[in-house]
Amino acid sequence: MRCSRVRKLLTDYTDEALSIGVEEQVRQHLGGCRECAALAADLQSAVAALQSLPRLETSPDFTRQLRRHLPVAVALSRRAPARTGLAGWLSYLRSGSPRRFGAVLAPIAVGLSVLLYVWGMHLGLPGVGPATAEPVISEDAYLAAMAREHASYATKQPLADSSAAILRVTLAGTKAP
Amino acid sequence: MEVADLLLVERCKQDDIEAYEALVDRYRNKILNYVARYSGSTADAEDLTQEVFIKAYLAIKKFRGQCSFQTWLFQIASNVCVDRFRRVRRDRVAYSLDEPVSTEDGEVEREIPDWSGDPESVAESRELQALVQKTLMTLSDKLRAVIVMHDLEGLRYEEIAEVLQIPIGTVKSRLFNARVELRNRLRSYVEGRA
Ligand SMILES: [Zn+2]
Repeated sequence: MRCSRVRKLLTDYTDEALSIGVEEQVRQHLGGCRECAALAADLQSAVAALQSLPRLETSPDFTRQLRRHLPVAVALSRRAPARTGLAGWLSYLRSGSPRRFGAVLAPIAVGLSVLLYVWGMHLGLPGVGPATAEPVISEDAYLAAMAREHASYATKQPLADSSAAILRVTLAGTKAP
Repeated sequence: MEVADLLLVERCKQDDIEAYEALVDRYRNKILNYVARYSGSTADAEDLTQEVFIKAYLAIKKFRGQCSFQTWLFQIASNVCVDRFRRVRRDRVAYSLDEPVSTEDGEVEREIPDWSGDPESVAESRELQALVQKTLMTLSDKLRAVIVMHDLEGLRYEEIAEVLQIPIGTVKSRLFNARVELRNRLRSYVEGRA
């Protein structure tokens, strides 16, 4: 058997996947060819090195956790999937691990914080806004306009919660420039 | 074994969650090891394995038994890994063999004992196992997927061909290249340190 032929068979040889006759031919060649024998030893060596890696096991909690995740995943998957918007995010959540909930909630939390901060500045809440609270008319006017715009939206598209009422209260304390 | 798998799959399609848990029990460690060795992160492996089994459950009604359940599960695991690894790799510094090796006991200095061209005989030690894993991570994704599926998870050539949708000849040549590369890189590291 020629070297090129032997080398094509070495993967199967390493895996003991050759028929007895062919395996014997390869073995005879390796007995007389140092290069092919070295290559065969390398292949076996690589397998052995890999297989020295320890086998891992899932945590004892694995199935219990999965049992908790499955109904949520199923419920989310039954909603009409959409490519964009809220449903898109839901499908993203559905397709992912619990960690993703954090990934989605974090930016929402940041966004809310910014809104509350701006709102707090507008209401003049203590501890919110620049330390040197100089009266900046244009900024005040801008915030007032924003609040009116929000209130207008809230009137056109009433919100389920008390947000609209809060906006109206805010508007009442805002005077147009 | 396969017949039992397919029976369990049929029961899963009737929303029998216990049947699914039986399947999970059968394959969770196999998937965990594949995911951990392919991604190089034992920390994320459990999370990814959960993801694989959630996705499999959601898709099980579409599984028609065109391949074995294991093959189908590995297709999902492979996709999850490729997807996650693509994202993770951007965030992480590429593996370098000159860095200290991290083990569960913290970082250890690279004191390489005499391998005598025989890596497997000394790889029992934890730091060398970490070195094998790191060297594995230097292989291309394609080579690593095949060598982990075959040499660690025991998938047959035909099964890997089905999982990755490639010809059996390609599976064998990737396996050959992966083994040669792994061996050469381990050896060149040892000789470089000698
Ligand atoms: Zn030869």
